[in-house]
Amino acid sequence: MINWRRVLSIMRKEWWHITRDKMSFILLLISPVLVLITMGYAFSVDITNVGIGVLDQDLSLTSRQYVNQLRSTDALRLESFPENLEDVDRLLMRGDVKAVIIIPKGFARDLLAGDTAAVQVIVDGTDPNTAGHAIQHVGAHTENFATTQMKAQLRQTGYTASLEAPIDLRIRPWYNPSLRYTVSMIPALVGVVLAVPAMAASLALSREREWGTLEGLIATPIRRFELILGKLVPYVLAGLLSVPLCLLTAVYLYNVAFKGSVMLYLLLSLVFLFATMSISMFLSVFIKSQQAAIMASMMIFLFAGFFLSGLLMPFALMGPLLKLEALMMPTTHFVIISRSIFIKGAGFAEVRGFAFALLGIGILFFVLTSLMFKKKL
Amino acid sequence: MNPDQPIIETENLTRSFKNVVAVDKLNLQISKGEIFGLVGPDGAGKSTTIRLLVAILDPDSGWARVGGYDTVREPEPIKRRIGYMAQQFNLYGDLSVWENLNFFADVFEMTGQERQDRIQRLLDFARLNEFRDRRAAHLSGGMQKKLALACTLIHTPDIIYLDEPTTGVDPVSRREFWDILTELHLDGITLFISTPYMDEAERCSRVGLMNKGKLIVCDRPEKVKKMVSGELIALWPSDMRRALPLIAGLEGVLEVQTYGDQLRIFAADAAAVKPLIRDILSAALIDILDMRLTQPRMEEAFISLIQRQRVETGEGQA
Repeated sequence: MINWRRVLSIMRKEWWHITRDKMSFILLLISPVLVLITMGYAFSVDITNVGIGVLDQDLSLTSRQYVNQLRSTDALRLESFPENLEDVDRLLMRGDVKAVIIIPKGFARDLLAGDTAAVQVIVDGTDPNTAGHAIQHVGAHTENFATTQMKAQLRQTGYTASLEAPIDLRIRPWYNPSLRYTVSMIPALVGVVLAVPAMAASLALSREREWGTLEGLIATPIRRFELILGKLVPYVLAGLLSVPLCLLTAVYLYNVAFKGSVMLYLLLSLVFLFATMSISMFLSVFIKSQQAAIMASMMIFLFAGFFLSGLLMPFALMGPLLKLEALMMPTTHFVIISRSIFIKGAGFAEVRGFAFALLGIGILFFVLTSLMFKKKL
Repeated sequence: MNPDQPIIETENLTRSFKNVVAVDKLNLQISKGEIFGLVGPDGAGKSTTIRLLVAILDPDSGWARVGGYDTVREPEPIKRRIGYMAQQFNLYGDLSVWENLNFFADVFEMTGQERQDRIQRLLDFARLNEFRDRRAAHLSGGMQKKLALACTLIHTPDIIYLDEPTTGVDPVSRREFWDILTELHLDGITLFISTPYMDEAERCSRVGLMNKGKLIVCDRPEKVKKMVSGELIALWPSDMRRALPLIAGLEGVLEVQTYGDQLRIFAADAAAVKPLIRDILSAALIDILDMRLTQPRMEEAFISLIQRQRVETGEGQA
């Protein structure tokens, strides 16, 4: 039923189209790496050195102690010491600091008297990530300072029993002990950027349509399945060449250790490329021009695929409809596979479900493409 | 298939695009071994007709049978037996001559010695042997057409459809191309050619004149020429611009066409009209450089037939 010689001939011809246009071929190969590098820097920056201001209205020994201890962390940087509330307003408005700590008059007195002393923190809420970071660190520091003060006072009053908390909480983050943001984000990004080569596959049919060669081809006894398969395979293989480039970038540029099997990763990348490129081919059955095909696949893979991949919004927080939509995106599955193999060193058994989901998406769209493509103008 | 049965047959074949009826109730019968020329102005529906006949476009109504197969219900057996050369260059520009031929050989499932011989024969035939490693995009227009023709011939089809094969080709290559077509005709292949060139129409065994989706006439070239009523006078006046309206208004003049520096005048009775022309031109102080009776050529025949159709459909003269 299928003439494999014909399929091979189409594959070879398609491979020539891909590789003979040198500029496009190089772009196809390095585009995932380029996206990985540009997006990688944006996503891998652990937040440190947030500039804050301190308005010390108490000017006591204790308040000075409190402020000095703030200097000991990398997370915050004492940037400025406003003298009044107008200064505070100006600093925050100009964005010189992201938060200002205000220590009111009577801070030391209340503390020494055993009353509750107040500290106010004003945070710039325009950037919630940085604000949250500042709140977290100022909060932890203040709590720590308060506990130390309390212990000292208890000792003074002659209290001799243990002052340790009854529960000793020890948190050990596995797979990423220092909880580096980079370690978590880069393998996920590799998963996202490997969808980029699929955009080229959306050209496979539309390009021939624009060249006028498709008209000649549909007037021959070529079978639809043979044509679609012959076009798909070379793009998948070309896309596969980008995978090692992305892995090398992740390991050597971002210092993320690759813990799993490279062979398994390549194999599952192949399945992922098959899934994304089948979707691309499916699009190009309906979208007639090359530009429109590129736009459509960009919307699907770079925008929807990226935002639903679980990279920005945790999958668990999505509503049921959004979850369904996310599950239809190959990127969602591959981001999980990529993280698991990369960071945890997972084997096939652990990621089997996601791999089969990708295979299913690929086969579904491949069959749909072969059925929907008509040998008619 | 009965040998007397037409190899291409259509009945009321109709296809519209949006508001335009591209092909309007076309009835055609073409026998095996014919060179059929479909002639007509741009937008007449020639390409649409060919696309309907190669089964890559479905009609809105009516039917077409090619080699005994219905184009809508049995397109695949048709596609195995035909070669189609579209108007637009439809080879792969980034593949060499050799690679293009081999690709189409694979598409048509040619194998073994037969395939080797066929490719070599076509390279010789299209005189492309020395260019076999050149990319198709880097060939001249004429060579591209010959390569496209070679690719449509790779599987020895029974019928080949050529949609304006010589448009944009220099006269020498055009002549060469027609020599090749004549060889194919002698081999017994049925040729269906659309062309805007009248000299090419005269080389066909039968021509169909198409205008606005309708087949106006369909007959042997010499008969088509005889369909033009009246006699034809060729006139070289000293001032064509002023002479044209004067002559067109004369009694007994059916139609006036311009051709270079001459006026081609169709008249019901040439002998009666000639003195009238002399009188009116001398009155207007226009000299007659030459005036003689002549035979209508294909071009005049077609222009005349199209204008006659326009008058009949009430569009007036263009």
